[in-house]
Amino acid sequence: MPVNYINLRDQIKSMGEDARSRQGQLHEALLRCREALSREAENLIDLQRLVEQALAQNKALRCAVPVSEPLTTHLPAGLPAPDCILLAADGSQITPDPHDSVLYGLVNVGVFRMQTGSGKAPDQFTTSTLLYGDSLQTESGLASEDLVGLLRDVRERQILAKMAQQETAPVVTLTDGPLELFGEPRLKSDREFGQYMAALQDLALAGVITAGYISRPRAALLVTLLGLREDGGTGRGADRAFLGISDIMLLADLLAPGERSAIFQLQSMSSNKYEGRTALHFFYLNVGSASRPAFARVEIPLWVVEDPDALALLQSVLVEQSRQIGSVPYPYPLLRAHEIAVVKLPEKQELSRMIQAELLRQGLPLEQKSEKQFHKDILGTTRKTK
Amino acid sequence: MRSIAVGRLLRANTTGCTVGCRVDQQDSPAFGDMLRIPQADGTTLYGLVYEIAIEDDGLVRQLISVPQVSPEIIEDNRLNRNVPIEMSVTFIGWERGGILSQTRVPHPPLTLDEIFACEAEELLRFTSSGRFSYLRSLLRNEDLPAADLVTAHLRQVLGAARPGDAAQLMQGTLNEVVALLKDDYPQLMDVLTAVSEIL
Repeated sequence: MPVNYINLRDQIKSMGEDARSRQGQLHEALLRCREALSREAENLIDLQRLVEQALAQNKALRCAVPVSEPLTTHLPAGLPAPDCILLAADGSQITPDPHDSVLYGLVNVGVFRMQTGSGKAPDQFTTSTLLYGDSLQTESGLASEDLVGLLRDVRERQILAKMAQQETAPVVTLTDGPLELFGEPRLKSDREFGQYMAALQDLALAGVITAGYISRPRAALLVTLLGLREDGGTGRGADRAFLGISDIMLLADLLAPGERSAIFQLQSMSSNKYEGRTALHFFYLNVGSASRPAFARVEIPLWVVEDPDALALLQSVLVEQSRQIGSVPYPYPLLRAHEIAVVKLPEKQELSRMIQAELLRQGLPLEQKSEKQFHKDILGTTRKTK
Repeated sequence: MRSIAVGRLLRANTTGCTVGCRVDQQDSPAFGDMLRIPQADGTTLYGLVYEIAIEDDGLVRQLISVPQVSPEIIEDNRLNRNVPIEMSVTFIGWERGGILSQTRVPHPPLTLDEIFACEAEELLRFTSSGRFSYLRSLLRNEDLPAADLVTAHLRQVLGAARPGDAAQLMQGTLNEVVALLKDDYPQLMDVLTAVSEIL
């Protein structure tokens, strides 16, 4: 049975009407938020105190914390970017499926290495790690999608740290997504978090310019910071003071193509785990053009913030590489890392066949797919149903 | 005999096949070149390249809109990304146990079989083994650019032949072309006009 479009028709109409009526409210909230931004632009110390004060009452506060640049900072990229070694990593995964005929997981990490200005063909590497046996089991049962995702993030960082040590500076490492390992289940895995931090420390020691790239971010970290003033500094209603407004909506008119925002420190429930030189910071960046702005949030550790040359190089490399890709700006190395890493369905099927063949060679009986999976395969359905 | 493969087989039937090869490969076959595909049972299949296509994909289509693509990105797309060149090959004969046949191959090669360019010696051995009867498959196949293909093939044959043998080879080829196309005057003139370029 396909989607019931008759049911949905009225709901879609309501959704459209709702969006139109919200436009007025959003516009009004955006104007207030812009006023707050220019009013607070230089009040950095006050705002830092306000965050501390709010944090005492709301440990879950997630917002931006100003560092040393005015909130309305917008700095252009120096182009062309200086030559450097670019290492971009991305990962994909196969989460163990209890309905499948063989129980295994996979973490696949693709790394794209480019020496800008060399004219040489870039290199590409893939590292595949099979998860089986005890590595699939946790105290709460079979490894979840979140846990396999965490293992993937850790492997990405470890591989980048190892490869970066073999390169000559300046070296820039890029990953898709934040540096902060996000989500409650992930923080429960202390061992993996420790490995991730060790890899970050290795990158810090080697002076590698490290960044996480978040394309079209919907975060409202700066907006929440400004909201603290509105909610009286309690931090409990700060994220609702300018409801519906994102940082990008707020900064869109401020950041010209190639420009970055001020640097902010990240305040989150897990940010205190990133200590010393690994403390998480970020800035917003417009990697687009006048006709097509494209915004990103770039997460960086403190050791990059403290090095103005490294920061400038990172900004210019991201802008330059994003412009290499045509009318839809996005860093070319990250796109290629994704292309290298992604595990397609035929590859997964081939891997399953290889594992089954090995189990047979070892004299082990083959498991069957679950009854549910068997019938789903026959139907050829791709719908995910519980 | 050259041992470095120029590409691998993508798909095939008993008439011809499509070969994928990388841009960076030295001595990539040209239009009209003769290729061989060794088979596991000892058979060798022979064919001529009649089309060479450069494939694209979504990323390449995006990159062409960039005013200045960096050399590294050009190299990346030429060398690292998926099969950039597809060559279409029409079969002209086969060999098994030292016996050459200029007829349709007994079975198509298999996916990912290696393809090699023929050396001058092989080329001459094949063309002189019969009465150029393989020209029939080229001239009767409406999907092939027959005039240009025969011309390119003859250019390669004449280039490989000893000076004293060239005239005889050319005469033999033209005799066969005239015999095959005696009832098709327009195509005969088409082929002869093209071949006159190398006379």
